[in-house]
Amino acid sequence: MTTGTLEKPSASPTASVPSQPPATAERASAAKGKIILVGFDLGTNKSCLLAGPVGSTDITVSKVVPSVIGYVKDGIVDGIIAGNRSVLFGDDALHSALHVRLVAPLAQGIVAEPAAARDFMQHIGSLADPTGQAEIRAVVGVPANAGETAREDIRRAAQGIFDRILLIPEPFLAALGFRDDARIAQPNYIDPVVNSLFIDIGGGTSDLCLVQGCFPTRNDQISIAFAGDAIDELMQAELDRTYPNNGLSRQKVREIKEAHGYVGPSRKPLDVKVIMGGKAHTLELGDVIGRACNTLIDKIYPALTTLIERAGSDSVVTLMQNIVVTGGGSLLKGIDTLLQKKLTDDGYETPKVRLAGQDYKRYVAIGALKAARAARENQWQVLL
Amino acid sequence: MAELFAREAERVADARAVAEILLPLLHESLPSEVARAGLIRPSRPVLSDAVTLRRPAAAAPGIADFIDQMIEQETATPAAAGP
Repeated sequence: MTTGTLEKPSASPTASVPSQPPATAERASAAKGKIILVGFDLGTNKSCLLAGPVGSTDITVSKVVPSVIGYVKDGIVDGIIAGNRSVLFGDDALHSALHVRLVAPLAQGIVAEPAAARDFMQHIGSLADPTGQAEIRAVVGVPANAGETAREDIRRAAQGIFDRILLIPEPFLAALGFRDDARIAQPNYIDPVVNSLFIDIGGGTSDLCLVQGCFPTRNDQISIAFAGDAIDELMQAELDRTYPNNGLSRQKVREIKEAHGYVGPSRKPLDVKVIMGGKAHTLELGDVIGRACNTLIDKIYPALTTLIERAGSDSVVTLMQNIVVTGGGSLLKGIDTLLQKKLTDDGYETPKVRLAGQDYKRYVAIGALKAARAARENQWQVLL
Repeated sequence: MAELFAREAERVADARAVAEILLPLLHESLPSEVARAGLIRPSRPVLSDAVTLRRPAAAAPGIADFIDQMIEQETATPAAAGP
């Protein structure tokens, strides 16, 4: 599959571009109706879609969709599945888990099931443009330092669904999304795009990125194939060892993690009620949860200090004040204080680690939509 | 002559020091019209080190410029073939 870029951009960066789309976008829109801009966080477990018409700040579509497809099993009686559909997506698929074959199109942040990925993209396209008549231009988040194969797989999945595409690393998009554009001019506002370190802990990968006023190089980014899913796997393995035949599904284990996950010292006892074999049981899971979640810290802390040491000496003091944890991993209780304490104990100067907050699911997509609105005509890749 | 210049330079420096002390006081006591005429320039606030550190030396470029930088990087060093 080939893509085309309309023309090579100019070598030197220019001043910021006005938000109004250039005239060529309007001529293109006349050929295929309107143009819809999409900011898309294609996550291993959850994807976030934001969409809006070009030339407007309106967001007409805002959805978080579990990244899962349910192919209805043979022999399911009519009327069991709403609309007698043969394929379900996201929450619909999960709610009909008994009657479908669940397929996750992504693993560790990259396409693992190409056919399913294409079906999923089709669904996303229909959410962004129910009419099917608009030209869709999508900025899609990819893991930091994603290889060319991973990028090409996403382009293939989006071919014929998105008309134009830009693939941008997720932690950088998170910084763009986290940035409060209304406060940039305020003298005391710390612009996260100017000097910060973002830690985006998702389902498949944990991505760290230095963002220091320019697009991060490969050296400014580290991607670790250990994140939410890996924690679930560790928890399930230890549950199976401690409570054999527990029958708990991976989805149930994930729910336990999302409700009770923590890092740092043991929070034993941590009693969790589960249904096993139809009966309620209370399991003490303090150490099971703590050990699994703390493994994440063992993986990301060295990457964090590596990036800090790569930052310039003139910028590192301010950088230490702007470490942000986002993604689903930001929900792990104590992750901000633990990382900050570890840095302090290791002698780093006044580190400050903060959480992205309740909008953590949307920051990558918000940053992607901002990028879609700002992208110049010649920057888009045309999916042929 | 050199001695004369040195003496005068010292006198100017002393006068400047006195003026810097007196100017804020004069600004407060003179009528506002005088201040607005630009005859008196108020002293600049001194920024604390903390504020200086927080204020970036230069604002970030625009998002389109970031994308330009990304494309230049991709063109110069294509992503590794693997995932």
